[in-house]
Amino acid sequence: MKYGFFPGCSYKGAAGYKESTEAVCRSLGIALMEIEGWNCCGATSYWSTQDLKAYVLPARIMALAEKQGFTEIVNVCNACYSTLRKAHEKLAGDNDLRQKVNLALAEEGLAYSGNLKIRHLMEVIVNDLNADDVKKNIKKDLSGLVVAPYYGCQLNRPWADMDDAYYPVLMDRLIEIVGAKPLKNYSAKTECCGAAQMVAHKDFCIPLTNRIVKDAVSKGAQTICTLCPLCQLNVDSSQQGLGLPKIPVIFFTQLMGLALGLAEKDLMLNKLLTPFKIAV
Amino acid sequence: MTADPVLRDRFFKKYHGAEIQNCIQCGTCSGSCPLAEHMDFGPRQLFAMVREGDMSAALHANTMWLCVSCYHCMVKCPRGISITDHMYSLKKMAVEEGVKAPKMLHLYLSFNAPVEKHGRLTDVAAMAGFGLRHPLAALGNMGLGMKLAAKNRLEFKPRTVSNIAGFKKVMEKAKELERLS
Amino acid sequence: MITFTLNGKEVQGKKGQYILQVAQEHGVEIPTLCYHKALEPAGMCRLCMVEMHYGGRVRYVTSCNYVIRDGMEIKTDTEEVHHIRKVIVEMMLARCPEVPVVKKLAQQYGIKEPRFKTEDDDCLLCGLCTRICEKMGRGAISLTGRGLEFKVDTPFHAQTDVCMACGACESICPTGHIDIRNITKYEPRPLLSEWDVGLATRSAVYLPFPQAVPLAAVIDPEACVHLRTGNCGVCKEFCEAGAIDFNQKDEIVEINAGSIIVATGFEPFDPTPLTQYGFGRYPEVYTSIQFERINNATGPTAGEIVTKDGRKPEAVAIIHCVGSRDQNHMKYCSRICCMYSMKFAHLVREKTGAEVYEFYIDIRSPGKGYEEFYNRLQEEGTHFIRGKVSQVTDIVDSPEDEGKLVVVAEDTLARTVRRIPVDMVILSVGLKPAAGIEEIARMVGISLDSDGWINELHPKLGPLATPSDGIFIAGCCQGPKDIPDSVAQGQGAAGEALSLISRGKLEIEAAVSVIDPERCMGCRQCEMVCVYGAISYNASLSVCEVNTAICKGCGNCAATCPNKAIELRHFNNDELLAEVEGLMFAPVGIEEHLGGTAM
Repeated sequence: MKYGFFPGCSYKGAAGYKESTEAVCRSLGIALMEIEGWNCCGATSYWSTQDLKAYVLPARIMALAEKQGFTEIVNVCNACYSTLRKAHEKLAGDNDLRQKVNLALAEEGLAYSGNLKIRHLMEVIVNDLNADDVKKNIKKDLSGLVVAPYYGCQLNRPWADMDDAYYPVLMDRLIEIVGAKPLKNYSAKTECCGAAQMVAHKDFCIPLTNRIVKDAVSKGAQTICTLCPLCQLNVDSSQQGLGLPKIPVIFFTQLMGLALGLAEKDLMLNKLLTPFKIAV
Repeated sequence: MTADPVLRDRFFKKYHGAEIQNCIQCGTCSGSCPLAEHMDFGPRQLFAMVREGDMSAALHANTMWLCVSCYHCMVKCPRGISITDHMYSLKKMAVEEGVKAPKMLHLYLSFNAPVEKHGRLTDVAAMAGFGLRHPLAALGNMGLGMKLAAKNRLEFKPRTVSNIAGFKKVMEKAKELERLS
Repeated sequence: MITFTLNGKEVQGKKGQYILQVAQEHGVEIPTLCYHKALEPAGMCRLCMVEMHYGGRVRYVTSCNYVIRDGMEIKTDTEEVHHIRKVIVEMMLARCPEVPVVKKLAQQYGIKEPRFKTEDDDCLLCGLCTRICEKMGRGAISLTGRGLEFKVDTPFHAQTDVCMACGACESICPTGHIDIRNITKYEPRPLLSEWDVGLATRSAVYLPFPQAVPLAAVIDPEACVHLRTGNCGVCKEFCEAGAIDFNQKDEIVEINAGSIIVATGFEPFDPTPLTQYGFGRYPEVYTSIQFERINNATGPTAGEIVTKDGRKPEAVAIIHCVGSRDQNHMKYCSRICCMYSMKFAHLVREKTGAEVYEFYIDIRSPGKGYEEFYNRLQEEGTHFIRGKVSQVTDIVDSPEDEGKLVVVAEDTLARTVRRIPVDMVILSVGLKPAAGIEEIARMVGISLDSDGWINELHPKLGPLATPSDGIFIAGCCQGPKDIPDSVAQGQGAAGEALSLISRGKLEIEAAVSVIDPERCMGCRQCEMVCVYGAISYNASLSVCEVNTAICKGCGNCAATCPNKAIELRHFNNDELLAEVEGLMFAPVGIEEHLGGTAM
């Protein structure tokens, strides 16, 4: 399977996300082809400050993908995913806006038709792969590992067509497929981590990440599994100095890598701030 | 309260805000907002003010600047109002009206600057810009910065889009088109 | 007949009957744990031991599987019998010291501590489970091993697909030892009571509800082992009236009627899609209908308002507008929820003294005495919080949230977000049209509005009638309404129907459609367009026919007929064309003549 891959700006610096994603896709035969010449999606910052540019940034990424012959874009960051989804939906439904955006893109010989499918890697793995094929590749028994599936807030909003917007279950399924135990009744699974507000208003946001961590720890999770670099960073870093029992926050690709028996250099668990010390 | 129908109409028309007239003031938005307790007014109350034209108070509020873009209010609004999108509009209107820039605007601008210049962002570039204006907040994040640096997770070199010239032309054109409208 | 003496009295029993059976028929109580009327007795528990005098000898036998004989003398109440039973109970207690039924027996026999070495088993080896499994035609479990290893098990001690997860073993086990999940390979599906809205279970043969009409038990064919496999049939052996008939089938009954009253009612909104309220996820989140069952004296808690783990709630939240007034679900107000929510608040307060929080958007109490009831609730100290609840969660923010459900909502009047810990949450779910209403509407030729409720003839002047003559509507099929309004509409509809009967005659339209059978090709297009259901197809003649008692003369059919086989009386095509022609060539000023609105 071949997909246009949009890594986004924070992918590379995220704790082992890049390494584990590449290794997992290699071992499952998912071909993520990086969209050449991609730019930042703009995210909340551009939605908050710009009218047209906020659409032009994601539209350029989608136009590049189309030009390079892709029909689907795969994201690994909730903010990128939600930004591209939003631009895609609005451009598809608003001819005036699409014309304007295409006028700007024409400067570089680009245009966006509005026909791409915008996807998230986690959803691709659950929906496009045959679960039995994944299970065949499992090398390590994770049946003793209780994993809190933390989806973050933006993944499935505001469209809620991939899964439920408040209480999704897709990643729970993924955790089951790789043989670990999803934490049942993880009520904080879509509570917001504070996102970029963590930088400017740390004091307001610490109680938010606290909720995410406390709900997981108190219900018996051994690790929290994330799908977004910023979620991972906020939930992991805010534990430093909370005085609570700490819990490692890993990416879903790292969890899959553990199950697939991949090497430490492919998982880069050593890049986490809260160390992952669970023997699996 | 002094009503400002002109500003209100700009929000209704240019920013497609007229649908807030459908609000039944149920409070689902404020109740589902992660940072509502720190806001001057919850989104519900802000909309009640805006639709009656109390624009000055609304645009000076910190409400929209504390929006985390989690879209929880938007998916649950029983009247289907695009609340998060209206928060973006109100931020832009506050800037247009010259309201004293809050911290979050500085963060956005230090995020945008490297994007405009290189097409891509590094955390270091964004934080450097923000740190110049808000050294205290930046200092609070220094410890984290050090830890990330120790784990070799920080990129100090800016990352540039391969066709940066083309990218800049597109952005320039977008700016021009925006000015025209 | 066989005659013998039972506790000094002469009794009779049928040949082949066991002592225990005859004793039970004569009201003589003999304790037993392993006897079941529908199963072959096995004499496993040995509690039913009695003293038998026969042929000059005294013996102690298990009465459950000892066949009666002429002239025998049975004593169930001698000192020796009690002594034997006591020893048996003592042995049971030693084996299963924690099993309630054994503890109760021990208490009856005055045993505090058994003299034997105690174990911590919970299986009495009574064999009821294995015998009932045989009866179900399976034999998935059996008593295996010898001596100390003697136990109930599946072949190879593994989950088996021989077991069909009927649950007979688990329900018959007197000690609770059997857990069907250890036996079956299939997912056990408990049969949830529809009447108790899933709060209790029912068996495969059951009374639908206490006031069911007719008041007779029904068999769930999906669950009945006999109907599925031909085995079991236990209910038939128990039913003394001989009323069980496995051959009964659904019947279609045709009734000729002059008028029909549609009263299909509503069904409650299923709050599962509103995941933020946690229905189905948190045990203490109930729908309003479930709460009605909890509060009801014949309900699963006998009317006691308690949590599932038996606690009396200290705080209860009632959430209004669940599914109602919400574009994502039902955009209309369901009208009755405010009032029933307040009734709940009153009952909870009266029965438990708990703090009650009503989360509402607007209180809608437009009815006689309704506003007064609202005022009374205020006086009772109910907390009225104006704000739609955004989420119900078990996330603990502060110590008082521990073990509670936290209801999060903006108190829009106090302008603050509140997180209120409660023990029980009641979702005041809205009303939606009953399933199948589209089919009924199509059948009787009436239309539905955009929300799926039946359209009445006129919103003000024809609230009971429909465009189809003789079809009346009553109650919630027309839209959400409370009991007084439903009763009023029902009586009104009945009155309308009765007045038709008492008149004995019908006034029908003069301008009706007629179909020329010579020209009709039987294409049935007219039948499809007729909104009144007045046209039917006569298969033997291959033509369509008009029921002039129903036809309203709207002309849809005449306009549709491709072969011009249909004409409207008093408005035939020639007449209509002449009128149009007259208008087209009318002198100037005709608009005025026609009231200024024509053309």
